[in-house]
Amino acid sequence: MSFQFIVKAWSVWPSPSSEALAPTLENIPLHLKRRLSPLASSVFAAIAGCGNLSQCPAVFSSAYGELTTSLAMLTRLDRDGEISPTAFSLSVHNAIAGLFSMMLGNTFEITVLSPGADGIAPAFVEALGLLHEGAEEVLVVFYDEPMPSFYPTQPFLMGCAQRSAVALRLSRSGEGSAMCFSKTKAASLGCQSEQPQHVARFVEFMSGAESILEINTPRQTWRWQKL
Amino acid sequence: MSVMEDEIKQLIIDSLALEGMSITDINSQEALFNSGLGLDSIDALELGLAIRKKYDVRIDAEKDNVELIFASVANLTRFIQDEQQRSAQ
Repeated sequence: MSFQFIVKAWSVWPSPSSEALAPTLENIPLHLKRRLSPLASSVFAAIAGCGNLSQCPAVFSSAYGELTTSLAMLTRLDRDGEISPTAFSLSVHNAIAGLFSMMLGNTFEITVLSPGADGIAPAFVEALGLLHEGAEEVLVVFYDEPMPSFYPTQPFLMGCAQRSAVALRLSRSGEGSAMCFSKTKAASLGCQSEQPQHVARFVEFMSGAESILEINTPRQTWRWQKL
Repeated sequence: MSVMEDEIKQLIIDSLALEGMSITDINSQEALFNSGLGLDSIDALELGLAIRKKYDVRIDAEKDNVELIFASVANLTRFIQDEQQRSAQ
């Protein structure tokens, strides 16, 4: 089975062409901006790069989320015996999505995934489901940052080299780049990689001339095709 | 304008990461939450923790009139001073 959709716009932070070290985030009110972690700032910079966003459902996908914040909090708990309520509220996996909802007054459904070995694919499955339910547009955001060295990653291919975020605005029709998404049973045992590795390949695919991207995971092969 | 009010304003700025603000930006009589400074419920928890650490004064949501205590810097200062006097007796 395959599903067609339109990529209305997409954006990656940090962009390869930009020399900016930190996102400026001009439109975000100060009382919310102070809550943004470096990872959250990257997410909002990528979303801002997608142009004017209408109120729509959103799918956030991150392999590790705010793991850096969680570890800092656990370290503080161990040292001081108590933790900051603000840090706690911002450490959960849907914290960035919550800030997004508050910032834009967006009351549509928001899903937050931690996709494991299937990487970027589950977010597409979710977004296409929302489009087929009747949503005009769905925002999809992938984001991750390097894992704290406290956590063992070997022998798995985990972690990522740098903090980054990719945002996509998907729709069923209209202007943009038409694409097709499908899956097949894995022909061979796929690589044990995670979302950060898949995001890097997806960005290369979106920016390049290749018309097909295939990602082998342990259970299936996910396929994106430019139409 | 008391020394303690200024101290509490600085505590608010530091514990709630109100970057770019100084104590002269906060009016002692002005509302801290919703209108005024625009703080929210997470800020109230954070500020409660900071006050407990600095002044050893605990604000009890069950017993104390939290809304009144957090209404302004002036109210917060009065509450902390009263509590400190009470525990000193």
